[in-house]
Amino acid sequence: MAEEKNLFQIIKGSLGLVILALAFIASTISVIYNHITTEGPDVKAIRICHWQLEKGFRNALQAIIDDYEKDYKARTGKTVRVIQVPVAEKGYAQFINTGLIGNMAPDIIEVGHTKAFENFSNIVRYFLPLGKYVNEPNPYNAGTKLAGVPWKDTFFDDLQGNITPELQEYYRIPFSVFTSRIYYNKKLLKEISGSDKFPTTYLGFTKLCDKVKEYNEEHHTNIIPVAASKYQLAFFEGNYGKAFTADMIRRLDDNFNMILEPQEAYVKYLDKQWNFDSPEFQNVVKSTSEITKYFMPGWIAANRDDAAFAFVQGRALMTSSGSWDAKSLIDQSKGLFGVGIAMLPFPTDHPEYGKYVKGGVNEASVTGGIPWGVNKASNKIDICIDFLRYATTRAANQKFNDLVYWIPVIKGSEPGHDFLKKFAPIQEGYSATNKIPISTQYTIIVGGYRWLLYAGKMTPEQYTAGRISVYEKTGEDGFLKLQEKDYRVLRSYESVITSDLIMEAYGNKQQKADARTRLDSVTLIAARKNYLYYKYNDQLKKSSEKEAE
Amino acid sequence: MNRKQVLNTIPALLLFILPSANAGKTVEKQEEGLKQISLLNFRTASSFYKRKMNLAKADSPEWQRSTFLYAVSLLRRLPDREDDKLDAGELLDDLISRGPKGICYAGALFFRGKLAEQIDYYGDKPDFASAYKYYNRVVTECPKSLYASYAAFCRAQVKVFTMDANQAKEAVTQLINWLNKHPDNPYAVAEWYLISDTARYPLKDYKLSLRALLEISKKGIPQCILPDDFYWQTANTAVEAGNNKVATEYFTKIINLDVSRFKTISRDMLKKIKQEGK
Repeated sequence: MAEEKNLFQIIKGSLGLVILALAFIASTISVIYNHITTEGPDVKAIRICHWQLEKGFRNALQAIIDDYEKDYKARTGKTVRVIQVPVAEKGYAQFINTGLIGNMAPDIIEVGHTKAFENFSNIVRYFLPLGKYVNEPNPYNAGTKLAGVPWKDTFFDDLQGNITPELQEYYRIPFSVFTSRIYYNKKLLKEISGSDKFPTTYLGFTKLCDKVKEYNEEHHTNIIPVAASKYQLAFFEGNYGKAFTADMIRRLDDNFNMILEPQEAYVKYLDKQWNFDSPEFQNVVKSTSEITKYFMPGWIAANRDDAAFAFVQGRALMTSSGSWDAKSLIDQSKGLFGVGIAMLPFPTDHPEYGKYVKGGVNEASVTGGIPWGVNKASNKIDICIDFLRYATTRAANQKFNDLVYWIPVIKGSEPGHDFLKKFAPIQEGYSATNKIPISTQYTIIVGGYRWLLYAGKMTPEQYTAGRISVYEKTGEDGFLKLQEKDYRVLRSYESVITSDLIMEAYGNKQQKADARTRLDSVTLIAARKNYLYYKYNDQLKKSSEKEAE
Repeated sequence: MNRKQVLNTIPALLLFILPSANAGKTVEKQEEGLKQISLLNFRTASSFYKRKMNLAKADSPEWQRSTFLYAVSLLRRLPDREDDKLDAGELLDDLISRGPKGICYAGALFFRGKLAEQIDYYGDKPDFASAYKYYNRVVTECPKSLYASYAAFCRAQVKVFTMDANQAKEAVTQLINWLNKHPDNPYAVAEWYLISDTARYPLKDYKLSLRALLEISKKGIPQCILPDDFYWQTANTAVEAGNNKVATEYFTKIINLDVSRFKTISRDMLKKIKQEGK
């Protein structure tokens, strides 16, 4: 008995060590097994890392990997392995940052969630410039309609959305395109409106939402017109904001980009060329407030998942979200109701709003998502490029996106599922952006007012007065801080220019040629930004002088 | 061999290994500084060239080159510190004082111009007049140097940056003269852009602004500018210049593109032009 007790005590006492030893043995076996199966004299392996933990994505990517490995073997007689490394979103930044610094990061990395992709000097240090490759045709397109076409030109946007402006270089290869739409419950729509057709006009849309309320009263139900959270507010407010202010921005835009930059807006404000009382701004607030009336109770405190949950449970007539949610919303609603997808109606038909809104908002500037970068330190860069080329042929990109229920990025490919056709980027309509927030204080304080407004605790008049007050009080300081920030960006450009001038003078043949090509673009972009910096300073000075007079 | 003996052999082993590793590095040192500059790692590059400068024989070509690259690295190394920039200025001045026969004379003048032009640290102020003089010296004293074309552009820029109408006019005239002589210089498109922008503000000469954009169009829209952005700018500048023919031509170009965020609004603009023409 005493011996048994002793043995138990010994095991109990060294339990930690036993667990540690077992973990060590398991890790060793795992490392040896992985090494034998993936790395060997005849096997080349690369690792591809992402934060998309959903099964659909991993399976779709694996299908492309499997095809690629087979194709590679058939072509070369050699074995290549592409290993997926899915990492949870929370730990992704740490995983990538430490990996890059320690020279142990995966070979292909999904771009995002970490500063390593934001700071251009980190990009230069850790990521492979892809300009050389994307200007060559994708060899996997041989024998197809895209044969001989530079790789970059096979993407729907000619890869323009994936250029790093400071470096005038391509560092990312995207796989999919995303847009946002309204999702509706087909069954409820028919029951409530008596029609299968989702309204295409603003007045039709608000009428439908009113009908939901009538339906609830008649049937003693509690159907929510719009399942929503703060996230959905941004969809409605952002789109209406663009539609209402498009013509105003065209008139005010001095830089011909249909974007009213904060400094540009501020000097125009001082020159009294616009104000917060203007009907365009007032009507954005009014129209959005009209829509938020139909949002679910407590929407301000809800998150995206709460809205999605209410919708898939059949408690709401509609919601809004991106195409990335389409598959899960449709799958989760299966058996309960069919999901319809519709475009957001714009108030062109409204007697008052229609004076300012001539059409919807276009999505011509949408860029490729799920972008991949190649780790510069990888010793298998040729395989990385080869895999990315394979994955972005029309057929492979179509297959990947068909499996994950997303929209492909390669020219000539089509959304593989009927419902996805509704997510194809809209080409008609207006595209305008106003970047009014001039200061951090404005963003924070007016951001708070915004919630009070949409919660019904502040009137539109109070909201406008609040905006004016904060804008005027903090405008000049904010302007100067933004200028300072822009100048720091300019210094980044200057570093790139300096590096290229030195490479042009002292680099090797390849460096000289690369520097020359990049200098043409970087000096032009930097010069235009530099000019704007001094122009804004001068405009502020003149406006202030005018005001003082 | 006991534990103590093993530990005692480590320093000897390190001594055996380290010299050979360092010898290997010496061969690559020449490339290392440039490699670091190409990676925008000016801090490491500055340490490398400082060492190299100190090792080289004073005034030798190697010393001049290392001094120049050290000064340039100091100029760009982060965080921006006043003493780094002052040191860079002194080193560049030293190289300039050796006259045109110095192997880094043009580069030293050019970066001295940059140092004067830019705000390099907290409290620093741009000195456009001095920057202009340095750039002008590159153009006039070293016309065949690698920096000459860019210096000609920077020379005009610093005049424009004053946003003084007279200086801006001088810059535009100087640039047009330069472009007449060097129409295909590598910075020609950037120069026409600068003329176009300056003509709009502060000069309000919309016809000249449009002319500059049409020159760019003749040369070909640079790769870093989206065609529809360029067409939109040209069409709107034509509207400002009262040239409806060009405006119509460029709005139509946008409409004919496969994809453009300006398509619908260009159709509106064409309608407007037609209505106003009636």
